[in-house]
Amino acid sequence: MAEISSSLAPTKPRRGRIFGKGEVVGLDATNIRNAKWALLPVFLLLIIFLGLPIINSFQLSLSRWGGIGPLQYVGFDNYKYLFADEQMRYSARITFIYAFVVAFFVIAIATMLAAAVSSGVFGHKFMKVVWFFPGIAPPTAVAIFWSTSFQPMTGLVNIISNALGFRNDFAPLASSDTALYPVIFVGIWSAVGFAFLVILGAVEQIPVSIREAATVDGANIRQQFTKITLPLIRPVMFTMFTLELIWTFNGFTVVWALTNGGPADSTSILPILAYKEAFRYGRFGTAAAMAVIAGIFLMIVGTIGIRLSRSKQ
Amino acid sequence: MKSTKASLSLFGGASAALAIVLSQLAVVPAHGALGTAPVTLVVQHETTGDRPELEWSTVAAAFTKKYPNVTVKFSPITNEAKGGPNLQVLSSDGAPDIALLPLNSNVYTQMVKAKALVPLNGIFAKDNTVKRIGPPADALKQADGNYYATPHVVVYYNVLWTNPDALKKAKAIIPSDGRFKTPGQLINVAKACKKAGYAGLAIGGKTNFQASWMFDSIMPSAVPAKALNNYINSYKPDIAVTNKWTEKGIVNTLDVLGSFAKNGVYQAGYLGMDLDQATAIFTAGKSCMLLGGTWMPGGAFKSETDKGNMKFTPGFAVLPGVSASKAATVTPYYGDAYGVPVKSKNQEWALELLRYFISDEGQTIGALEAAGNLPAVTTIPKSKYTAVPQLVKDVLSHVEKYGAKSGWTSEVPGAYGQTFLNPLIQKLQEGKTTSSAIAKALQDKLDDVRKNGV
Repeated sequence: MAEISSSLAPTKPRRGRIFGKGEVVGLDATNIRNAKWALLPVFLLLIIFLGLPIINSFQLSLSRWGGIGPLQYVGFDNYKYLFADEQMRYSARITFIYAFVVAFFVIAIATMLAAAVSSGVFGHKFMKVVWFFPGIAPPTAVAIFWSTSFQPMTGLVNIISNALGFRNDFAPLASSDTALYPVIFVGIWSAVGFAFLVILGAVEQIPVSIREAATVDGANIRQQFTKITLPLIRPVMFTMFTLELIWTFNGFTVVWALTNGGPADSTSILPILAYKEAFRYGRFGTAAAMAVIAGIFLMIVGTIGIRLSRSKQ
Repeated sequence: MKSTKASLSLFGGASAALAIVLSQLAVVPAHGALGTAPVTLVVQHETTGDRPELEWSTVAAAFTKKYPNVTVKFSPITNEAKGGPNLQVLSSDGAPDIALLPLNSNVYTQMVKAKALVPLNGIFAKDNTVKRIGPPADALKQADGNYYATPHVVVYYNVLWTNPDALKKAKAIIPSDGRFKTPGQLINVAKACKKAGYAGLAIGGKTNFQASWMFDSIMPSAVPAKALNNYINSYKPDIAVTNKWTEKGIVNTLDVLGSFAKNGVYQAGYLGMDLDQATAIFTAGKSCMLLGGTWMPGGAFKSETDKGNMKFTPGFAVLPGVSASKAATVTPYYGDAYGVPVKSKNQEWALELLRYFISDEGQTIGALEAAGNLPAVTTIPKSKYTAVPQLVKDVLSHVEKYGAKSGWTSEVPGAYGQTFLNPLIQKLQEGKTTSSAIAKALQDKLDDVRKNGV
């Protein structure tokens, strides 16, 4: 690395910036100016599509607004209201549970499937396609399918349950005590495919020679998985876990189509609560405050995820 | 003091009248002022429900025949969007010329509050529309004296559609006049149905409206007419609160709703089902009753019968009142109204089209003949109701005989009414709250709305 850096370095006094620990990638004044100009469109796009909406959301979160007309500044009232609101606390709690449980199981299942497919189990080519199918199905269609499947008597789940000799009046979506379970199940079912494909890619990047050497050294399949495969794909797993967590946390379509956030608001995760606050109650300010709080949380999660992923690399 | 008040009131009235006249002058063009330049009007309508696409396409065809320079395009929106995200569309520069405005939605509340709708007083005055609609038009009049939306049809909800075959097999008897006298009667019918292998009353418990619908039907049987009127209007700060939500009639109404759930009146898993799923159970002959409305005979019932899935002709009944002394009624809904956003680029033509839409001619060819719905105006003779399904005519006859009371959730803004109450009733149905707690929550909400607005 040092050799490469020095070969790239200019012969004149270096005026470049320091990247990393002690490495200097030299750029002369012209190049720096050109680089700044080249980066300008990117910064502009970032400001327009990221910076301004963030500022706007924060401004909205400090206001009372019904969706039309001028904003009415209310300071931190929306935040105070949210922190005191029982439904908000409940929604935050179930959103964390939902996001973490879904992300954990998605990665766990996807990793096991990827390992199985990669090891060339019977039907691995077929499984590679089949497991990806739920990932490409439209979320609304997925939710409608499962919403119907969980219906008592006539739903697929109950038909199978009945055929196996169990009861057929199982209606988990109809009770606030159980509605979150099918929501989590469908969340996992629909997300495993994509994670599986990414993790499979990582597993298949592991050089065959390492596995062969391990086999020669007497490592069995389980040892190869835990001592070789898992450590080598860990950065990808962390990245995928972080992404799944963020996607699930922000998920709306599947939960909305499955339960409408009910019964009795029992599955109103934060995005659903924010939607209801804004569009049903006309409280865009509190909805924006929720978005700001959720955004800060996800930024922390994202930062931790990236750091963990990097450190493992 | 009294005379000062009277003169102030007289002055206020005169000012309001002057404002109305001025607003009419401002928004209603002389007929010839419309011009002949090509114009394209964009009209919103719902994708489902009472077949508005048929109604609008017929009216638009007749209108464009009269005015060949006008083209009408449609912008269908979903049931979910019409009461929420549509607000952003209507307040944007891409607003349609004629907007769908559910009267109990946040969209309508906010649009009126922001004065983002064009007053319809002018077109109403020209055709005497307020009188033609009758008393329901009173609810359309805003505090500033303006009308911003016009209904186009009246539908009746809280109709209990019945399956006579299932009821016969279950040996369950519904009163001959279709009016359950007591909650116990309905509970017994549902129990008999369940025993015979049918679901009792199928409802879309997952929806954000069906649980609170029943409240609309039963509540007027539990409170005096004057109190009902106050419950409907007391969210407005200028109306005094004469009746509190914690009063006995309200608690009794909620008790009845709780007792239905407790006694297994509804189908298994109802809280996880939407109205389409509940309707499918009924049309497949698997439930004795369905909680629905007058758009169903011409919609789901017809299509399922045509497909051969529905093998019986339904009857209908009405929910019971809280006690035998006062029966409940079906509930009228004029709510899916239309208006002209201020952002419309063709306000004058939009008003003219809306005027034609709600005229007797427009109502006849559109609402009645094309869609088979009951028109919002009362000036069309019954002899022209030929395309209205017989079942709907039967409900109408029932209404003429026994009346129909306004539904609270249809009359007040959703943020205070339906959206707020529905999850609470779902909780009650699950046995996780009490009637008194809901009554208290309603009273707290009322106090909050009166203080901070909707």
